[in-house]
Amino acid sequence: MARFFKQFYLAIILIFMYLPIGALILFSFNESKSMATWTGFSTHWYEQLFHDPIIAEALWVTISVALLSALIATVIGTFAVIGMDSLRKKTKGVVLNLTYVPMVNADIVMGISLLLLFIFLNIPRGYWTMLLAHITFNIPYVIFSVLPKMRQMDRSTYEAALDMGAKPSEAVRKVVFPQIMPGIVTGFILAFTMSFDDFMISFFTTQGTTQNLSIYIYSMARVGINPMINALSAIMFVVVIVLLIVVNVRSTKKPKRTLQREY
Amino acid sequence: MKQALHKNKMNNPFVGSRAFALPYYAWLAIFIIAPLILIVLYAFTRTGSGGVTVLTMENIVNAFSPTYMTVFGRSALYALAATAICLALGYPVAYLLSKMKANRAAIISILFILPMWMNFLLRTYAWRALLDNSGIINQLLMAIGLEPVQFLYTGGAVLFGLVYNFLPFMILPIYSVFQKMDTSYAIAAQDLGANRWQTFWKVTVPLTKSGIISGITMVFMPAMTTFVITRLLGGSHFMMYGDVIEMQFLLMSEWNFGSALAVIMLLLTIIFMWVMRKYDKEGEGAALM
Amino acid sequence: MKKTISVLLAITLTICILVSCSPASGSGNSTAASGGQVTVNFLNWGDYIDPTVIPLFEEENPDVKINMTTAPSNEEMYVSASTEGTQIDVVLPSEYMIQRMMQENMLAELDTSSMENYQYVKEFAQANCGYDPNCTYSMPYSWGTFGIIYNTEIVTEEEIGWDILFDEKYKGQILMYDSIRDSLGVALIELGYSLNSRDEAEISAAGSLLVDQKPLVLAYGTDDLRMTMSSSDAAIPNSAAMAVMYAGDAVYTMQDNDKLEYVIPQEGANIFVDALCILETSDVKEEAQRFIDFMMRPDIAALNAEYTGYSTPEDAALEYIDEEILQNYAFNPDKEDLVNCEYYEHLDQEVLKLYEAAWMQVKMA
Repeated sequence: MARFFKQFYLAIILIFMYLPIGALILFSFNESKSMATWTGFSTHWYEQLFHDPIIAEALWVTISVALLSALIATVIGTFAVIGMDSLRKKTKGVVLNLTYVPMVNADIVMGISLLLLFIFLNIPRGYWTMLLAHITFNIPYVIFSVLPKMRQMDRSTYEAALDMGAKPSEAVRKVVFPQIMPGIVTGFILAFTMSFDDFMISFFTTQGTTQNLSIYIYSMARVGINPMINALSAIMFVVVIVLLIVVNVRSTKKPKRTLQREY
Repeated sequence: MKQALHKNKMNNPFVGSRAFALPYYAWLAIFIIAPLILIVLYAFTRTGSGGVTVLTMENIVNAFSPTYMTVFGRSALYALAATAICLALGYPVAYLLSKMKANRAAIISILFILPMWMNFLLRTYAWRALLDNSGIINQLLMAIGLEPVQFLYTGGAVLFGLVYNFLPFMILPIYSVFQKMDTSYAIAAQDLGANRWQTFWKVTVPLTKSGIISGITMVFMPAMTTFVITRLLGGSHFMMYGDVIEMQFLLMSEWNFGSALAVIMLLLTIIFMWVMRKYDKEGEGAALM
Repeated sequence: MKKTISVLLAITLTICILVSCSPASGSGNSTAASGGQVTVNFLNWGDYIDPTVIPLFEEENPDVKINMTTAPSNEEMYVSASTEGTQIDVVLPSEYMIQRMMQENMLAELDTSSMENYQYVKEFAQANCGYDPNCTYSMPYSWGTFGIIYNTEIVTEEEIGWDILFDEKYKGQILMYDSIRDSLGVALIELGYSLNSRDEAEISAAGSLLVDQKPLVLAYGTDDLRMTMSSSDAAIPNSAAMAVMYAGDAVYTMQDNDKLEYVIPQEGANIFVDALCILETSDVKEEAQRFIDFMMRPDIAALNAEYTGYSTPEDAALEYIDEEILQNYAFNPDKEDLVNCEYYEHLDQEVLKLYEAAWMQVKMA
């Protein structure tokens, strides 16, 4: 009974998360341009999608910036958390307060202030400035994901490793990383997600020379969002789900012993 | 536990790895502090006659006017309510995930993130299609003989949209803390005669406190400045702080005043978080609820 | 877990390598010439051009490459085009933003005598573009009106004017536009003033009118009003009955819902023009002008008008356009209904502040 209730609760929350995705996919097959009324089945948005010259490049920019910025932010953020651990409480408080800034700053303010910074530094705006900006707003998500794991970590194991003659870098790699790994993974995924969906900061930091999917989508709002974006989302969704299943099937096939050693 | 907290820095084994944070400090200086200084400069200046920049308190004073403070208060209230709901909904999810086989839990936690890879604007439009007066949900309601409900264009719809958008940011950090939680404390507590409820509040919650704080940070802070949700789900009957700032920068071209609003919001939000963390240290987590 | 990470790492690494080889990563440089090609950076609205048009141009002009990006609003476009070191060459702002950019000397003069297709827009510009009647700085690309779209089964009045938006009868069924100029403009016209009023008393009276109207309003919105109107249905209680809307949006919305009609109120309304301009800072002005001229060609203008649903300024283009669209009143209104229409003038900071104060009152109410 309790088991059933637990499963039920999870299912409800997941349905809540996926309801709009379902609607989004459904309307990618709608004949009309609107998402309000169903006027008939059609695949012409899919056809249009493959003929749009902007989408392919925007998708490419989006994915590469998201992966790169999440990766770099994860590395910088994780090392920052380890390095900050021994700081005095006050100093740490100041650093963390500054870390809040990109999270709480309105996107427009972040976007314009970074644009001014890039102008000041005389860096031509485009792909690379967008990447720098994304790393900047991704790092806090990594830090706040890794921080709780670091607090929870068993310090004595690290101390023991040092006592046994391991260098700090070695001890961090062999003892600390395995313990904070869930936090690092969470941070990476959240960073990737934030980057994937950013529009305003990307728009200003590229200054209209490169663009990601979000910029394209938001700039469609003026004349109405073209459902080919729904079609694209549907395809992306299916691809990710398939990948997830493939990875999962492969890893469950492996003998149990190796699996346990991995963790 | 207490002892560990009060260990002075010489005893912290991580003193030797302080240099690890240097790249971040450099990043902080260039990409966070430098732009921040720029915003503060804008906030305290204005362009006087002849294009000369003059120091002034005018922007800051105006930003504290009742109109903008009301907008701030309303945004904070919505963000706070959304954070509380996310915590209430997300905490059990994180707990249940931690009880699952690692493999399965990993997949389900990815499933919570996956929807966010679809564009935010599109997902919000999809909610509109679902919640509309003649939308899918209301048609289902009417099909089973119920009255249609006006979901859209209410304060509730705004809250709903915020919770939907930020829930994963609450679940994931708490889940990652749950994963490695030492369950022996909980077992010990129960052995000592604590009931389940007591065990939960006195043992489990304090042990996952750091995850809860991270979750609150990642939901409350960004929720303060979202704006599309109020427009698309709430019918834009009122403005949120993010709207006001955007309006100053874009429509009014008042970068100085916009910066002042941004600075005040940063300050107030950070003070709020700081007080919360302080409060939490004394209350040992229970005060959070 | 490790497995996942290593897979992700591998993907990232591959992408890193690919990115550094990809031409996209370094794009944006106006003069970046690959094989003698010149790049023209064109900042457009999203989905505001027929996707076949740019490839067509590039085919006919192999020496020019168009790098198109998109902006969400005039204001965002302005920031992007006006900040130092901008690499944008061609923009497509609306008339009030063109006036501002002209005042700030941001736009380059066009050599209309060398533009073959200027003749097709000449008449429209002289009649409707008082801010730049000879197309010295801007070539009209599309235009439209700002009127009322309503459900004929709910709103049964014979004459529809702006006052319908203030009628108690439709409490909770009225959709207003969520932008300062558009909403206050409606109120100004309703009160009998100009939608470019610079008078403090008039503007604050318009604000008060909107405050009084607020209890009647179901929602303030922009493009999302299309969704609400296309599902408007008399059978459903409290369904939206009417919305203020741009004609281009109305064209699409009416295709979804045959109960809808679009009207330009007789008291007057906003008429907007989006026009192609070259930035003064551009160093590929000749190529940019060739591109604009190409966009003015009647068959190309027709392609774009059909695709976007926004009216074309060229009568010569109409013959290429589908009959069904031509019959849509929102797309092709009677010329005499436009007599009272005004375009927005760019307002000074001081006046704009009056508008802002009035609008904040509405939003705080």
